[in-house]
Amino acid sequence: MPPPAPPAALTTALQHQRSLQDGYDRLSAANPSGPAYLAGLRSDVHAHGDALRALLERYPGWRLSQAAGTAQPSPSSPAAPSSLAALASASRSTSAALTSACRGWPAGEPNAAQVLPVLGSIAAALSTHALVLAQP
Amino acid sequence: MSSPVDPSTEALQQLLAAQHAAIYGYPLIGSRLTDQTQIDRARTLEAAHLLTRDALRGQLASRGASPVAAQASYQPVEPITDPAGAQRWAIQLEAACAAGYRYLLSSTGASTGQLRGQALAGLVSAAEDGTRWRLLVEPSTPTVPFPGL
Repeated sequence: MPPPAPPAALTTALQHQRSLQDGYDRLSAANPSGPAYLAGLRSDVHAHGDALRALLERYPGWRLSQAAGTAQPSPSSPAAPSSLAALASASRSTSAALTSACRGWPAGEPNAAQVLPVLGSIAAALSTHALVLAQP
Repeated sequence: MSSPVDPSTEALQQLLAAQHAAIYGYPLIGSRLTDQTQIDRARTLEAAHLLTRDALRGQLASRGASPVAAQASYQPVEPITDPAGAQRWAIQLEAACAAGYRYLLSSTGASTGQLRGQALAGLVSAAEDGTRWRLLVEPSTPTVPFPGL
């Protein structure tokens, strides 16, 4: 019997992170003379991806799907944001989704002590990103 | 043999200690700032940290714990000689609060409910307050990837 899939909240978080990362990558490539802070935000989001993948590695079901090459993005993955305003909006909504995932994380889940501070911290970071991106 | 301290209680104590430092620091920070908007922000944050301190004291007392006392004084990492130094101290104070909330969040794995929500809301708020100060000092790098870490 295969190991259970990792929590959907984590795989969904990674999908949103990939979408944000794509948005930053495209915007940075298309507009190299954009705001100076963009490189820092982009770097933060890349670090979020690394942290989320490290969390997912704690789940045998994720490792198995990675080894088998069966972990594909969901067809409902969000489209990459294509403007600063869209990045701000996506950062805000992803922050809210991660906060909700933290609130609803099951008590006593074996990896809760590791997952909660990372998800909460990413939610806080994305909230600060929205704040920076929304500057006039 | 002393009984082990509940991790959430320990986290609340760390958070309270960070509030004490912020309450000490913000009046001094405000006295070094020159921009009225920033001075008002320092006052608003001092008031917010006072409220949080009082709430945390009540929480700890209700757990049967003695709330950690404030130190006689707190020192910034570097001497504050100008508004930029004051802003950097504010960044440090908010970072310490974010660390306290993150620690509190990590202590809520065995339970859900009010404490987890408190930790999340506080972490986001401290991160945003830190970023508002950082925007003044380091506008090209105003964020950190993992607030509270």
